[in-house]
Amino acid sequence: MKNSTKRLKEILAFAFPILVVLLSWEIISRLELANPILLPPPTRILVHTINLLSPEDSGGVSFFLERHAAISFFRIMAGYLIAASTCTVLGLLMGVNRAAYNFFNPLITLIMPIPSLAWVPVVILWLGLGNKTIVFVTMIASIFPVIYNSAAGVRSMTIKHIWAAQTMGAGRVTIFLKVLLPGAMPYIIAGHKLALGRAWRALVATEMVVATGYGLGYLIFEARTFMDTETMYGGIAMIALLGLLIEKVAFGRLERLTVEKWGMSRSL
Amino acid sequence: MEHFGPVKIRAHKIHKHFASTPFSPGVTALEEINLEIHEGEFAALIGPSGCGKSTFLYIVAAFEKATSGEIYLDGQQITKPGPDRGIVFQEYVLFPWLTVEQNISFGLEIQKKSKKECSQRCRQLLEVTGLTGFEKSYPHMLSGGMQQRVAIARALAYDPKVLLMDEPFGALDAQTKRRMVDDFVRIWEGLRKTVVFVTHSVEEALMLADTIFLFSFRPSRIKQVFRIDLPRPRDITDPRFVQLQRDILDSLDEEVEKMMKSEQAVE
Repeated sequence: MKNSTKRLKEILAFAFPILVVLLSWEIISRLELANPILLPPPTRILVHTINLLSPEDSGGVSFFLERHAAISFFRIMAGYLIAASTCTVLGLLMGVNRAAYNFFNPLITLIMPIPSLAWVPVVILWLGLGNKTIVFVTMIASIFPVIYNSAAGVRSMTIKHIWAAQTMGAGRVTIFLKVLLPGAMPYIIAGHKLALGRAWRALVATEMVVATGYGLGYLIFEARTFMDTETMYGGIAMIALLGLLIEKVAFGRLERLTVEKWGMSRSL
Repeated sequence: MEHFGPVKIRAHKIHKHFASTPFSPGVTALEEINLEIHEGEFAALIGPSGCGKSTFLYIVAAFEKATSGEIYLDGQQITKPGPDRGIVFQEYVLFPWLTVEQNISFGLEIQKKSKKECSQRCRQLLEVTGLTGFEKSYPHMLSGGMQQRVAIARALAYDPKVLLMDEPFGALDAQTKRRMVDDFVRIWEGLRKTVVFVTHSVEEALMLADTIFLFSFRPSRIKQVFRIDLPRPRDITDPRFVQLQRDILDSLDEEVEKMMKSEQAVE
């Protein structure tokens, strides 16, 4: 009981500033202090978005927004998961092995500052105008925070933690699995969060360039051609919502089960 | 010291030099350390800051290698860290992702002991160290003193031949420290395990140890050895205690003086 009221309070505290901004926006738009076509009132966007989400919208299309969102979601998951699975391992390796660190660090340092979007024209030449290109670019965007944080996480464990385990008879493999890996958890989780954030940005932008006819990025860009601002805002809201869902539900749950429980990361 | 067993730890001409790095000049921490610690003996190493007493302990643990010289445990030369030695650090160094219980049985699990033995041994140590009721707590929920109890229990769990302790009560506040020392005397009396205990507190050393090795300032040697024959638990107001404390402090102060001078010279 006590826990659920606390949860409710948290949700309200989170929603409050958002509601304030939306309300001001609504007023500005309704009073036509700003052009209501460029800045339609949030309630109208909401009605429009619900229409786009419905089994059959006013244009006779079913689950219009869901379809775009689902396609974007699968693309980002594909790109992110490829990066996450390979680069967590690479980062951990760099954290424990000096030779691996010395080899990969210069490459990463050189490639990291390049915006993921700079790769788009090149990747289009390699993989064509399609899903492969979009997935590949989201993968590039996800790679660096995962590698960097995984490596930093391993290094965050003090030498004394390793010594303590050695004294108890732990060999290299046991130290890695039972000390370095759990010890690196807070960094690894943070790295994956950053990676998904970067992946979303790269995804939407790439979808705009690689117009495949589907995806939220494509939807927003396409709606602009028809001056359909309500659909544009609806698409943007969908991106925010999906991002929030991943951050709060998936990662929030993971953090409560691990680093917050262990006191390695403070819950605010 | 006739009431002790055979020689447990023997250090022979231990010399330790740290090579210079771009950030620090080379320094000889240990000139030549020779000592013998017997089975069941509680040995305290005391000396001014930076004298290399912790370095010596780390060489016994084999975390560090001596530049020259050898250390023997039961006549066998020590070459790498192992479960025949238990370690307790000043900073506790618990595993934050494990509960108290899991921290304590970590060593036993690594050594592939049966579940039954782990939980039995764990329960016993929780009781000895006064942690019963905190089995399922995570380290961050506990005070410093309680965390150090977990660290001690963790090191005792797999029954090492010797217990190495690096200023274990150094990070605790004065009251907690006194209580921990009293409790540890009681725990130790029940086990009579060989202990090597690094400290900079003369009082702590006198409360606990059978033998106090006083390290000189670096490059350090063993300047003096004090045998403490007072019965435990010891009383800090006992005149013999006070006299020993006086003697040790006088000898230690000379070394602290050298340390201060060397620090001024660097500036």
